[in-house]
Amino acid sequence: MLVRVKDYRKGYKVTQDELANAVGVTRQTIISLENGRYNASLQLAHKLAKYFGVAIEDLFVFDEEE
Amino acid sequence: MEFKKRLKIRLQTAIFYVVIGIILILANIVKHDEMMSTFGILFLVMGIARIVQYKRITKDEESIRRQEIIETDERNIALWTNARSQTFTVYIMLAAISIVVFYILKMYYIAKIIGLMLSAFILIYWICYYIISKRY
Repeated sequence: MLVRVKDYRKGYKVTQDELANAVGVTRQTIISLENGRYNASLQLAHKLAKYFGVAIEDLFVFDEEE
Repeated sequence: MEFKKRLKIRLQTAIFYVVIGIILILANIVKHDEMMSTFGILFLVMGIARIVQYKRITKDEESIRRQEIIETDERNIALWTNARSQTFTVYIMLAAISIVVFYILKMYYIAKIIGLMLSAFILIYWICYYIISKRY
């Protein structure tokens, strides 16, 4: 799965801490998400997509071959 | 349940621990039972530690909010659940090995006790599995 949270976050000039506070998770969760070590729940994916004003599939690109 | 309500329950539990601790320490003075004072000190320390933790968390709204995020963070919950599950697996393995060891050492009684505990744990696991499977 390709996680594009970092790209969007940098595009919006938001820090990891600010994003974490906005979606109600810890900064460590955002770090793990961006590094691809942790897969977000549907609820968190929805919150992140809503925050950036995009669709979930824009933030999390599922690789069918994986 | 609202987080502040949960914190209040946590404080009540801590006070309960302190009271139990004091009762056990006082009981030791009357009964001269060292076991009682050990458990009493344990409960007292645990209760005081929880009260201190409660005071630290509730010192302002910001720290309450920060603690709520930490406790409801889905990654943290996944880590805690995973750690508990792995602890269970390790415990089961260690218990199974110790049964064999105690049996070889001809300490049948201890082996039997551990065996019974192991069986109880597995039974509880299946009951929990059944209850949780009904929920999802």
